[in-house]
Amino acid sequence: MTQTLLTLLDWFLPIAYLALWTVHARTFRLPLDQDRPTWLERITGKIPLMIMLAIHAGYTILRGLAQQAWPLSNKAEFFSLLALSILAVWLFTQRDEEDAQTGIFFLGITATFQIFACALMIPIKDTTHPILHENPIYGVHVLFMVLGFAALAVGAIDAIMYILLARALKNREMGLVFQKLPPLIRIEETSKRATVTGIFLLGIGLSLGHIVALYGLDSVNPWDPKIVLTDLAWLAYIVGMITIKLKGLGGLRMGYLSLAAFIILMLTVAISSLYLPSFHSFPG
Amino acid sequence: MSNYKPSDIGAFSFSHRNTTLEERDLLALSDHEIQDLLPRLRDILQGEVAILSTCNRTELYAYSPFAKHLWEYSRNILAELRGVSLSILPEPAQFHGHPAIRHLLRVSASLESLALGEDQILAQVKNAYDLMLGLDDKSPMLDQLFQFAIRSGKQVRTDTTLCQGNVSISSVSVDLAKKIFGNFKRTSILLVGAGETAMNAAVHFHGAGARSFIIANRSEERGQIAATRLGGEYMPLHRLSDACVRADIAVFATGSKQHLIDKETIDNIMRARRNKQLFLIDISNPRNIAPEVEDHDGVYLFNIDHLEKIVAENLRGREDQIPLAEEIIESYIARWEVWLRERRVIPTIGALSRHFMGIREQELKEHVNRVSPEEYELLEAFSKRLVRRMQHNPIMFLREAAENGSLRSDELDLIIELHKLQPKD
Repeated sequence: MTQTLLTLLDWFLPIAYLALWTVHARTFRLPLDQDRPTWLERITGKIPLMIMLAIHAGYTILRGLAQQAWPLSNKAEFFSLLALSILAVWLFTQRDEEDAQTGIFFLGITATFQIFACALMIPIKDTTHPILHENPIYGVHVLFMVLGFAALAVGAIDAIMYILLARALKNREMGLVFQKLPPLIRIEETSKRATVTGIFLLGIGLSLGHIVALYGLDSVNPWDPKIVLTDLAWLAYIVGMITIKLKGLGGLRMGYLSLAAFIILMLTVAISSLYLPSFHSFPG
Repeated sequence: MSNYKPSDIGAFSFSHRNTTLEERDLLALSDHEIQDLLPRLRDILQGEVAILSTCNRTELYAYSPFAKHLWEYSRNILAELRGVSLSILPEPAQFHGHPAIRHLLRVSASLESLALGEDQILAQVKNAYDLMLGLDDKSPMLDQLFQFAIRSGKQVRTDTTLCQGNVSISSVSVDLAKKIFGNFKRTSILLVGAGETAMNAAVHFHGAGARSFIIANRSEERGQIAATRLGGEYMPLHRLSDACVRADIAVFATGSKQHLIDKETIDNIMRARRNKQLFLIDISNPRNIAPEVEDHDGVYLFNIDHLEKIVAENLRGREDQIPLAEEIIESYIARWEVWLRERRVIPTIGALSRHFMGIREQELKEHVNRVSPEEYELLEAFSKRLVRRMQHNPIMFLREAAENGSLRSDELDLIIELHKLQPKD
């Protein structure tokens, strides 16, 4: 019964995300000053997105309950959690906005991850998981880490949009970028909100990771290069945010800084995963 | 309706193409005046009349055998209404038949507007339509024509970009500001100068929802008047930097011969603003803002040249859409023609059906008491089927011929004559 429901949801989620993305893409094509049909306004409103978030969260919980462990045992589950996190963070950053104009980008990413998840998903009975995945603190640590990275990614995508629009305005190019992106100040706000949220969530995730490492694992090197580098990257983010706040940096410079910080963070994670020896392996 | 002649539809137009602004002002009619004029003109013409009047155009439409005389009749009334001699009134551009229909559709699509693609005309055509519908007597022909005009106008707006992109300096400025700040609920607008240009820009921002204004002007008296008008605050020009620190958008429209803002000033302003975005609009001639100011990260500077370039591009973009809009209009003219043909055929189909059913009823009456009730029932059913099958082909012929436009007038007359029909409208 549970497996049937999970299989149905495995198929439903990518199809629903794709359908929502198609509607958002259609809205994106319309001129901003043109009245939208009521049905389109309803579908692209917040309620369908909240329903999708609830269904996806319900699916993740159901999967966890079915395997009696955090649903992080394979690539498919990780992609699905990533899709869920991006949707959650994006919706959170858009909470004050009347309409979610950037749905075409973020729902596109969410749909892509969920399609990968659907393609790679295996039945519960065939999944195996390490005993660590049954540790509640470990699960919360991974959840916060994924949410944190997703928030920083959303912040970085917003920063790219900010840079594109600001440059279009500076160069007085009234093309597609000018016509289709939301107002500059709104992108700046959502980018800041996503970045601050990301730093906060990542902070909790890292702290919980340290607790798990100290109390949940038998032998851990406190100077494990992967952990140290990730901690340093997180600290650099905090220092960057404080500098921006204190120096009153704004505009394009802040956009470039946010983007650079995210790229450095991702490179750090990638390099440490590929080249440095560690007890810790990132999901997948 | 079956006697419809295309030339019975006439349009008389006074617009920027054939009149001066003063003449258009003289001819502009209020809704009240139109409501008063419509029944009088209907009586004189013994037909249907509609009047479209905007600040830039006055047009009279008529459907009547005397449509071509509409202006002759109405000019006396208009001269009397305005208290001017007949010679002062300009001559209208006249359209009859299909050109009249095409003209209304073009007006509705804003292809005939002074500012190509302007958005208000469609609402004004709707208003003219509503005023006509408000009359006690019906106007079936113009009713339909205006419906076609409104529908085609809407389609032009949705299927083309004819009405997109602003084509005035002030509205382009508002558009740009919206792209930076979204809305103007929490946005403060600084007007540097209190002349007509600055006030015109302020009116546009006010119309877009801006409510917080600061007016910096050399003359305190004029600045205070402008501040009162906008519900804003006056600041003397020597405190311009302070005003720029507080504002989000600054519109410069002064006669100053030297730069009011230079690189050093903007550095200080932006430091005080903690680099918060500042949108500078310089519509002065000569420029009030040094060009280097825009090198600053958070400063977005648009001067009159930049704005005029955007206006020209938008206008070019609209002009590119003209062929598409005209295609839509022609498709509606074709639909109008189909509607006309159907209107002409439908009464004939009704009459044909009544004719056959009448014969059937007469024949059935002959047999009422001659056959048993069961046999009579059979006869009724039989005759009904027979009549239906007999009239099927001529009715289908009429419908199809009307739809594809192949029906000739003499063919329709022949059917009417052959069966001695009396089609009702």
